[in-house]
Amino acid sequence: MSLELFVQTIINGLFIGFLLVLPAMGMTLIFGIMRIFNIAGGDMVILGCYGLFWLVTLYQIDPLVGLPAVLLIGTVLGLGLYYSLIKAIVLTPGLRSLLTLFGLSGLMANSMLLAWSPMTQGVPVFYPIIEFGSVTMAGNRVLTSAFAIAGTFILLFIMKYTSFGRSIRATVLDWRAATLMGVNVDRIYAYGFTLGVALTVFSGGLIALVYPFEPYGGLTYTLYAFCIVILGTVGDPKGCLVAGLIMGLALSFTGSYWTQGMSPAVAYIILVLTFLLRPEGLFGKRS
Amino acid sequence: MASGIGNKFINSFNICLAFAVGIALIGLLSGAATTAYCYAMIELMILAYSLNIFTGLSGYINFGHIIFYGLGAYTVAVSASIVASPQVNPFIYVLAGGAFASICALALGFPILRLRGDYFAIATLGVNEAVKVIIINTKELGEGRGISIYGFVPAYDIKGLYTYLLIILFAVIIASHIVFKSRFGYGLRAIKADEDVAEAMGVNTTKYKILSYAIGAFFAGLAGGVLTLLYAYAFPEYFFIGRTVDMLIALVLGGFGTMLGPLIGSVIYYMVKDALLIRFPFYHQVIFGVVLIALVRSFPAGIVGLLNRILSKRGRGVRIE
Amino acid sequence: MSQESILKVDSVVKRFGGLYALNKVSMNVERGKIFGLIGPNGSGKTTLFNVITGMYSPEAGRIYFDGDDITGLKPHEIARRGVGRTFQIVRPFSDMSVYENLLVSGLFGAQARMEKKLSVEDRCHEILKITGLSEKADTQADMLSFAEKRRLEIARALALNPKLLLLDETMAGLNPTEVDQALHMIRDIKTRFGLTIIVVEHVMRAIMTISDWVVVLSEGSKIAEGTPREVSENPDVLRVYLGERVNMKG
Repeated sequence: MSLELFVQTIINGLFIGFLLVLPAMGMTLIFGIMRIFNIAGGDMVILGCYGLFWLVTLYQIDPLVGLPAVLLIGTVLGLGLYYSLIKAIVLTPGLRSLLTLFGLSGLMANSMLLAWSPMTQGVPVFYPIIEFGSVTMAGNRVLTSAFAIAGTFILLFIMKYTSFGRSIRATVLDWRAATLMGVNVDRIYAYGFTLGVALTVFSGGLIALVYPFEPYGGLTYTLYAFCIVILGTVGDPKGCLVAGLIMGLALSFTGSYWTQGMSPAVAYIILVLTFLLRPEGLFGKRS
Repeated sequence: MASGIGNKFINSFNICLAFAVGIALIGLLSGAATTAYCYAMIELMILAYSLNIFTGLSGYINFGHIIFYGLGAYTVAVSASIVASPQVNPFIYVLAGGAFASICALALGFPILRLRGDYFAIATLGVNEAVKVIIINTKELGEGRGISIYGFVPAYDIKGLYTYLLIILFAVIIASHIVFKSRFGYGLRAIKADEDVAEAMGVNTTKYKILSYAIGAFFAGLAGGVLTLLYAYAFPEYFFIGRTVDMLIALVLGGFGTMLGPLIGSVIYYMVKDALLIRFPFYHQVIFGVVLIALVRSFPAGIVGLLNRILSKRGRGVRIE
Repeated sequence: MSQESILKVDSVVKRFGGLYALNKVSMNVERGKIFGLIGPNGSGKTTLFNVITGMYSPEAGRIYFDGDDITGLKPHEIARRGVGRTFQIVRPFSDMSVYENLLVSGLFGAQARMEKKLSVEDRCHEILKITGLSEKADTQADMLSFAEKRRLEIARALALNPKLLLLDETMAGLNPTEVDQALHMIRDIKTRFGLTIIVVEHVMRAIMTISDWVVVLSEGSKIAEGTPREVSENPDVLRVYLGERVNMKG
């Protein structure tokens, strides 16, 4: 058991973790605001992957320019989905919203399959490898982590210091009280959902720079996001940061010391353990 | 519970049985192509009924129901490989498949059925992924290639295996009927209506949820087992989540938690799907995603629910289930 | 514990985060009596019901029912021992008929296993008659009027075959005539089934008329108990209700 492998695994774990924090925050935000789990979240990640992929391969756009474009795509998607589909199921957890989002997930995955073939893709951009002593870090991982960290802190900043963020937090805690305090709750639902979707799609763009992807890969990301959300306590974005890193480390260790393929099973075990041992999450209050 | 339309003999249960007899005759007496068509329809129906016992009654959506189908399939493959003798009656393997699937359901259900609706549903997605991934990564289980049991079982015997499937269909219909009318069924429906109140009225909600989960798993496992016999092969594709979409559409279309729902839903959905598959080979799955969303939005109670609404408007104090 | 006590609440503490919803509450409920539980909003009455029926687990203290320690038992276990309750906000099983609502409790209630299905059905029909819901037996529960839904809550709890019945603000929102009918029905139920009943109410006239004994909660603590007359003349109680225009003598 070499020290190098161990250190490398930890570093990779952090890289993976930072990438997964974004879609998790998207999911936790949406659930917190409107009590719906975005089952199609993983497929939105994949959509983001394809978004960046086509921008780079078809239009020769540099990823650094492409990423904001992907964010924009996510925003448009979020708004569109909200007004067409989601508005009707806000605050109604249960059969209806679950099936609607599950249907959406299938719709997205199959549309992507139809449009872009089942081939696994990767974004063909190369970044230099950075060496730090005996530890190697792929340039693309460093870059994407930087973006992910930036995105995470921007979101946390928005949540804490802007009036938009405050309105969201108020709505999450108690939407009726929020209305009484002058928050336009309908707008918060729309913009909050859009923000969640945009984050998720954007994270797909980042993920595409590091990992291969294929149309049916969404389910796995939905699972990872859900595990992180629960571990970090539902509705708590900063919880996602901690939980995301823990999940990243777990996945990385699985990859280094066991089999990469088993990652979803490991994520699921973490989920079950969380439910059994600490259902309120790391930051939750015992009820 | 209110019975069907007037006549004592015409109730939901008897209609289902009559249908099963009808489809049995059609399948057994026709050519192989028709039998294959009926086979696939019955298989979907069995899956729909098995999911209905759990989801339909308790209201908990199980997105991972197909894993029990897959587990049944793999159990048959593994046990046939181990026994390795064509002398054994293959139905024994199928029963083992069903049994193993329900044991897994008890194990899997225990940690996640203490969760409420939405959390549980997504956890079932996780179950689906996890089980699939474990099988794909286990050498003994054939990894991505699957397990072949050709030579150990009478493969491709469509008529013979159709009979097995018919037996399972009758069994699941009868089981559904018993559950619906029993104390167990009432408890589940109370859970669906209001879980906290059900608990306060003496229903052991956790135990009932786990039990119905396991019963549903049993029948799904049986169906998976028969398919393995048919192709003498078990692959990871058997865990494909698209099958869950099939079952869910069939149930939403027909009507959750009813006796006739899975029947009507499966028949219509299967026929439409088969027709579309020929015309639009790749679009059909996209179409069905839209269909599911639309159905849930406009007809959450399904066809049976729609009929009930029409009947009650006409003032007839009768309800179809 | 005396034979006469059917429920004993012993120094129960229930906390939600930093908030003490119940702070060392104790009380003793005598068999066969009607027990009134009053207090301003937020004093912990429904929380106490939730603790007694097992929906919440207390941080400290114990609950004894009919001689047994039921603290920490699951709600369905407590229900099966014979504790029935109604909910403050009516929660009927919407998709089922009125009769089916009762059937659920009947099938799962106390000694249900030992009863024959026929006698369960008979009891349900009898309860429907007493609560005046016989005509609506086959109606879907969510189609009932508000007052009828209130009666269904009580009927359903009765079908459980309880020894102790907890009624949580069953008269809120009823007009004076309906309140009188409800009072009459409650007395009738008590005599006919030999029950002990705990009533939580805001309608003062109702509680004071019907209760044999009254306990007053305020901000999670018991501040007074006694006969209705004693409690209505208690200065602590009056102080707690100050600002509310309440005529304690009805």
